[in-house]
Amino acid sequence: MRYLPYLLSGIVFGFLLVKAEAVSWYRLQEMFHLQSFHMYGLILSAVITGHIGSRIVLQRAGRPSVEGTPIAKPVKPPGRFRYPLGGLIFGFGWGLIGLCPGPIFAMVGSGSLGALLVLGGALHGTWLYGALQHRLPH
Amino acid sequence: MFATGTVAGGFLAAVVFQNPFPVLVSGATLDMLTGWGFQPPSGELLPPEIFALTPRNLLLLIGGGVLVGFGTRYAGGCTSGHGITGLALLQPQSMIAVCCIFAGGMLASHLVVPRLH
Repeated sequence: MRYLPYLLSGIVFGFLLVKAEAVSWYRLQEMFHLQSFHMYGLILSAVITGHIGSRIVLQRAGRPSVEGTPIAKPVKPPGRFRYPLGGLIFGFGWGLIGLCPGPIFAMVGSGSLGALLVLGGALHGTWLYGALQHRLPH
Repeated sequence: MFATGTVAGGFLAAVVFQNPFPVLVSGATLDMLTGWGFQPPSGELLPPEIFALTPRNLLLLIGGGVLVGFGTRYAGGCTSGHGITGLALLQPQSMIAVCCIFAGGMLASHLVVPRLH
């Protein structure tokens, strides 16, 4: 049960996503039309919390993670095209169906068959990337 | 494990501890949605106009999912990975990704979604 921390944080994550209505297509359309502070407040408070929290965690150099490995700031792979292009493609899909990976799983948990279909599509999408990646600009 | 937990958390929040109120989006949003031909939210988090299982919606949901999955892997992150973690860690790649994620979402929400009722 060394995976218990992951399971528990996942439960909290999914719970909060739904309670904050970050999973709601309606909230997303509201957000993309700048009609409320709601989603921006959510993202802003999460980023600030994450920033402070990660600073605290990273400053405790030497204390290992639950797996015993040292905790270090993750490095994003270099690239000039992958971030803007991948972002645009992802964002377009997100704007259409109002679900991104976290909410997809959370809404599957809520019993949404539609979300299950989205999950199926997303899994195929990740497979498709794998199949095409050597042909894509990064 | 984390994904499994997320599913469980979603179940807890949406079913066990279900919110009795509908999603309280702004008045401007309600006007906009009804203007597009959508019913205002009345207790569901996801619009039946898109999430009810009609043939068109099947294409839309799966296709949208493909875009999300493909784009996430291509960009090396999603709204959580880049939008929250990446910004929290002040990573420049994430700042670019987030700008483009929002641009993509704005495009979809302004150009395509109004026609989806």
